[in-house]
Amino acid sequence: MTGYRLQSGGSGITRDEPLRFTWDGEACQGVQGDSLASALMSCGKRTVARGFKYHRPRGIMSAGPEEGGALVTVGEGARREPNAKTPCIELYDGLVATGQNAWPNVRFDLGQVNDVFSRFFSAGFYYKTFMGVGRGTWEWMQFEKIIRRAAGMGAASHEADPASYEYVHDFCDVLVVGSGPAGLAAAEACVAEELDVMVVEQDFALGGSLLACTGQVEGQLAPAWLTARLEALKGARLLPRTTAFGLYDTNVVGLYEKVTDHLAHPHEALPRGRIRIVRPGRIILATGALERPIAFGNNDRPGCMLAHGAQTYVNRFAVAPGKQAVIATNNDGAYASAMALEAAGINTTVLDVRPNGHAAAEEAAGAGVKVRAGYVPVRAQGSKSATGIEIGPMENGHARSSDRIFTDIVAMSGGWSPAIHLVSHRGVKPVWDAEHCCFVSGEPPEGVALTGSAAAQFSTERCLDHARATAEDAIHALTGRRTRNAERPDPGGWETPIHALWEVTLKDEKLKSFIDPQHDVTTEDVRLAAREGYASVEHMKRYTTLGMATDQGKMGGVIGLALLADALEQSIPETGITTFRPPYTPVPIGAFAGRASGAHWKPIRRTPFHEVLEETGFRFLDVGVWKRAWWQKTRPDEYLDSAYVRETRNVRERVGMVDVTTLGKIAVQGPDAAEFLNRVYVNGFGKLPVGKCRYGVMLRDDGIVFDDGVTWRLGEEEFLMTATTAHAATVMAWLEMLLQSRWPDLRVHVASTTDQWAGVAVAGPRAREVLQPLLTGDLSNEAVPFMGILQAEMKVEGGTIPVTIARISFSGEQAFEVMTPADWGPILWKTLAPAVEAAGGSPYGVEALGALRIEKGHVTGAELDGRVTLEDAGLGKMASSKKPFIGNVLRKRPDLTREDRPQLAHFVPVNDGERFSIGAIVCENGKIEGHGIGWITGVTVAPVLDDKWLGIGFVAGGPAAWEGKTVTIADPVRGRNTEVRVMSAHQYDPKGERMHG
Amino acid sequence: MVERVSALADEEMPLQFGPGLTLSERRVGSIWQLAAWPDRLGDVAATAAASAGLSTAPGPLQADGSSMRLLRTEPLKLLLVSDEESAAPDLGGSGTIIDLSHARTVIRVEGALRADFMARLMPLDLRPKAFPEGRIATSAIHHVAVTVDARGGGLDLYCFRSFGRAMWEHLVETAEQFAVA
Repeated sequence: MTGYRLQSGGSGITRDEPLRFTWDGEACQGVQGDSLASALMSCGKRTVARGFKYHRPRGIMSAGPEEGGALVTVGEGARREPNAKTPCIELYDGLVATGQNAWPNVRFDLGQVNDVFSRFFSAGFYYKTFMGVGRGTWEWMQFEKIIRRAAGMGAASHEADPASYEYVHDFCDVLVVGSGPAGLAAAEACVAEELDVMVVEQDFALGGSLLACTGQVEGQLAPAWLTARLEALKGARLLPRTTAFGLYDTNVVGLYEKVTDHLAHPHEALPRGRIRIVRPGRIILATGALERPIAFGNNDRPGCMLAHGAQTYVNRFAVAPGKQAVIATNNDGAYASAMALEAAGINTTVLDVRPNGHAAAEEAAGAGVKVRAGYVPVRAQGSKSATGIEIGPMENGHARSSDRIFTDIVAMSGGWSPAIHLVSHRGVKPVWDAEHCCFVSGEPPEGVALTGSAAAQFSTERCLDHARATAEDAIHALTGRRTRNAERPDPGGWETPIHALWEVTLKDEKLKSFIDPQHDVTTEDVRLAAREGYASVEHMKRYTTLGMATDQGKMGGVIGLALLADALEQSIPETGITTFRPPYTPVPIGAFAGRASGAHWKPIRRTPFHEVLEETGFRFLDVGVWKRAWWQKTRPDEYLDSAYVRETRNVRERVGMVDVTTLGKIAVQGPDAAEFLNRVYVNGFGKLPVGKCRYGVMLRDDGIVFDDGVTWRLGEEEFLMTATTAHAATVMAWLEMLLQSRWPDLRVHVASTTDQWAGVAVAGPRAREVLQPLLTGDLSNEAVPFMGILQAEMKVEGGTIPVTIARISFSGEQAFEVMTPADWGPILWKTLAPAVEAAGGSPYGVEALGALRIEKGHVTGAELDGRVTLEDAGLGKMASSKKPFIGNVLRKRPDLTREDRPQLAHFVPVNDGERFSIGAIVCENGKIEGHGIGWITGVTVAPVLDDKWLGIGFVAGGPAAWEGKTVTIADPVRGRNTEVRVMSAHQYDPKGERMHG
Repeated sequence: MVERVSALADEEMPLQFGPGLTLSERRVGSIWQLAAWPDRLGDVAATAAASAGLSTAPGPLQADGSSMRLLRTEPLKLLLVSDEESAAPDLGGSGTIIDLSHARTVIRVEGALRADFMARLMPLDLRPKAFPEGRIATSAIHHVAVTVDARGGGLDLYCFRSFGRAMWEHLVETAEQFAVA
């Protein structure tokens, strides 16, 4: 028999709202309010999955996140998601789901042959196999591929996740996790005291266990009680579809909220999910308890399920899992499930391991349930799904199979485990409660409390009392008020004590009994682990994979350690329990990226010229987070390789202009500013006149070059330091550190002004000719010599804008850096560009900028890579001998002053037309080995060398040792060797006549 | 006077996202950063307060004033922000002053859902009860430093100009869900 929709009932569904969905290519129908599990069950689908190793048929085993059987793949294409737990998937119109881990399908899976050879696939199979004889041989490698292909469950999409996600930072007075009776009662008490309350519920419906309850709560029918509570919680933030997946230090709670997974056509503006990081004042964990299965023969057959799960399908979804039910139990809790099934017309028998009659059994018997006290399930029958069960009494620790009951539902209730995962995330050790056969939380962290069945309260009335007392403590802690003095009940709630029953065994026959169906872990696997020496519960877990991955001990964790304790002949507390780890339930990997994907992968930094440059054909290069103008496309057939050479030549022969806004700019102000710079830079700044600028290099404490740049003296106590684009933020932090911790006595303030300025370098022999007509001031060589500064106005359309001009050259040509406040950047560019073009020049980008500086032999961040000394970079003469400066002592260490250290040089191919690449290594001819004797940091076509290929980089001993000699540039990655001649890095205009002109 | 072109000059605004959220750019005339020497903080605060038309300067992480607004951003630093361009106050040797008028993009967030919106961007409790009028804080949105000022029933977000457009795009993408009924 298969499942079917009941004619009446179903508190959670709307029967007149049908929803179509596809299961394994077959059109199916559910109703609004269904989960995928209830919809599949209502459509008569019993085998919906296959086991991990043995490929045994699996059905729906629960109604919650503890599900270990019905794992399926949901969605198609890029949105395909494997290993989804069917009870946790909210049905929507158009949902597509398929079986997984089976071929050709889950109903008939050839992989089931593994079950025949299951003795070879016991615990430790992978470890033993991968350590086996023949490891590393060709044959073994083929075998390994087969094993790897067989391993794992389901297959994720290879396409990029098209969904969007986001983070939300929440704050509240009280966070209540769980919306069962305890959670709602606690939240209501807090809301009544006008506290800001959040209630989160992993299910898509609020109510927790009440959704499966048809009885009364505090004199009201359960649905009416639930409605009244939700009405009282209108002032609270209620978040269904939201799982608290982790509890972290300082009581930060991680939530994952499913936003659109239940929508057939979600609005594209909505994220698929949100990670909510909550910082609550108090946390109340009303996370409920998880029912445990019982290990007996073939307890994984479709039709075998948890008792409360069966009750949920009947009462909430109006779906009967079958026609006949046997419920095996060791506690009172299963009787409510039995009566619910009986009331739904399912012929129900309870097997209660406890031998004597009791009140719950009598009440169930009165409702028509057959009760067989002292009986246990022995072995489920049926090859594809349960068709019956062997049962029998317990004798001397073993069962004796004595009867057979024909049934299509074999339900289990082996006790309840409080869901204490979240406090376990904080390192709280669970404590064994022998009376109730479960682990309870140890002392929770300050500000965290557990209530309801999470605190081992096993009746609704006790849950409510406990929750209200817990809420009162939270209210008192937050407000100082006490609303009432409620007694907090002790754990308990069953009239008849639970009787420990982990496994049913036969004296003379082994049964295949599963304790973790998700990983196909059997009771025998645990015993095998114990026999092979895995005495620690943590080792046993890893050896058998019990409770790993999405299960996190929900289904069989406690049974497993109880069996291990038995095998080791020790108590459960002595054996201990494994650590629960976040996430409690799976969170999409994409959610952790939040909005940091695609165009928002990292923040984008644009200069004030960006839009103007974009309009005029510039392509952009990512330099850190900056978008820098790379090269300008002036015709359809022009590309980078020709454009930058054209731009470079324009600068050398006429004039060019380039965006230099990205250079770091730091205002250094105060009466001690000059002294401060004197200590920071290797060269002197104390006597730099106002209106002049100077190139400076700063070292780290260890004597290695840190950064370089030009500093402008704008006033007696005011400097504008420029730093490289790459190191601007680091330099700023370094200066702040120096002022705050080393030299707090200096009266200096520093401030980043990078964003205040838009900067353009106008370079080339006609630079002055272009600029002068646009300015109010005198730009002549006499008025503004090399390294001079001019404050002036520039005439632009509609008036004038203030500009500060420094005569600085990075290209080696006559050049001026023109800065204006950023909002006038666009008009600055639009004014300068026509003038440059009228002079036969053009704008240029960083590719040409790089070509120019390589020709000139100037260093950049590519050379100043944290390994280079002043001397290595050819800057040794800059170091002052008349003042101390940072790094001056340690730069003189013997290893930093060796003559054979790699030093800056130029490299030109011996044979015209040959090229080499950045990153290649420099080797002596005929000795291409190891790390070579140097490396290449930059390459370009060099117009000043008749368009020859030119490289800059380092070679041991530098030009002093190698100038004029040839070496080989080896590029093993590209399989290319190039013979080159080593030259001085200062070939172009070595006397600086062009830039001083 | 040549018109200034802000980082968001090409963006359409204000943008309304449903009834509870509006984003726009607040164009400011001047931003002066005043930094005091440790022993002259009182003098700088008094000068700054006078410039903003206030009797006293706001305390740490507080702001005050309207068209001339003073923000106490750091222990020794204040921002003097004015709607119109204003001259630099004279600190008379008690500290330094720097012009940041073009260095910031100021995005204004208004509407009843502004705190819900900001929760998606910053790890700060910006619920009106916790972040009332006159409070400021500096944190980060998408790795970029942002100073928030609760002013005039809304929030002013100060970010670096160079990140202004990216910040606006990030905010708009996040805000679009608020327009979904």
